[in-house]
Amino acid sequence: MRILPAVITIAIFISLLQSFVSHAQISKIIGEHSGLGGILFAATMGAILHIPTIISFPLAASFLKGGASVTAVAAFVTTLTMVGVVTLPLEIKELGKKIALLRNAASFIIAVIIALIMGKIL
Amino acid sequence: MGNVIAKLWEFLAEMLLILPAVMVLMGLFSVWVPKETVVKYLGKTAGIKGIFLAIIFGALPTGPLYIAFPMAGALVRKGARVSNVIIFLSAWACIKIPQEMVELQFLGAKFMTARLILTVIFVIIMGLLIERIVGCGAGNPIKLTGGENNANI
Repeated sequence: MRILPAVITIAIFISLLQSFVSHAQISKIIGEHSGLGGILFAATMGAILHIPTIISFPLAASFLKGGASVTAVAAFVTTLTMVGVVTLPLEIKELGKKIALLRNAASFIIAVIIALIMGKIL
Repeated sequence: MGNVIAKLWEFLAEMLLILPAVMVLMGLFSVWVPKETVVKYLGKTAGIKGIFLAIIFGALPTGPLYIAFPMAGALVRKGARVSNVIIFLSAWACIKIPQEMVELQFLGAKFMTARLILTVIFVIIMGLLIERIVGCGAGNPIKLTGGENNANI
């Protein structure tokens, strides 16, 4: 039940987000017309934030409902799981600088590619 | 404010329905798949079978990604291909059955399936590419310095 505090935090955050941040604001930042900037912003947030994946899906769903594009949400979810800025020092210690940095950089790039393809096919 | 509380309650109720099932699955996986097995099989296999095993062994255990780093380090030191270790880490990060279930629930079947298939394809390409860049294939294992986890894995 270590996950419970995180679940409650995210629940509160989503409730606040849905109540106070308007559809127009979300779609302006990460919506269909936010372009590559919106996608890169979502991907960067995913890379920096350190939240358990399982509770990130309801957050992602609320972004989608709030007017975010499929591309931005896919980028966010994918970098959230694969890129870890917070855990990078540990990864460098275990795998060396070269592999760790390459893996995170490449993961960020493929996350954006996956997101762009998903935006096209969905 | 009433709106916030209603939304909060709606969301908590939804999570409380899913989480117990997720916890049971996570528990079963950690009991059925000992970490030693993961290290043993992945380290000795190469080729397509190695890629396949890397995905399976990355996908089955549960836990945050940083638990997988020491295991990945051990695999590299034991002579596993860099590509397989990258694929293993990526599978650990984003191909998990409980995780896919939650994704299915919240983001829908199409989103989940498309992202899963694309991820598998691109993760394999990325693994092979990184191996190429690092320059350590199957016959030329990379030398890692500063590994302190040989003894305890």
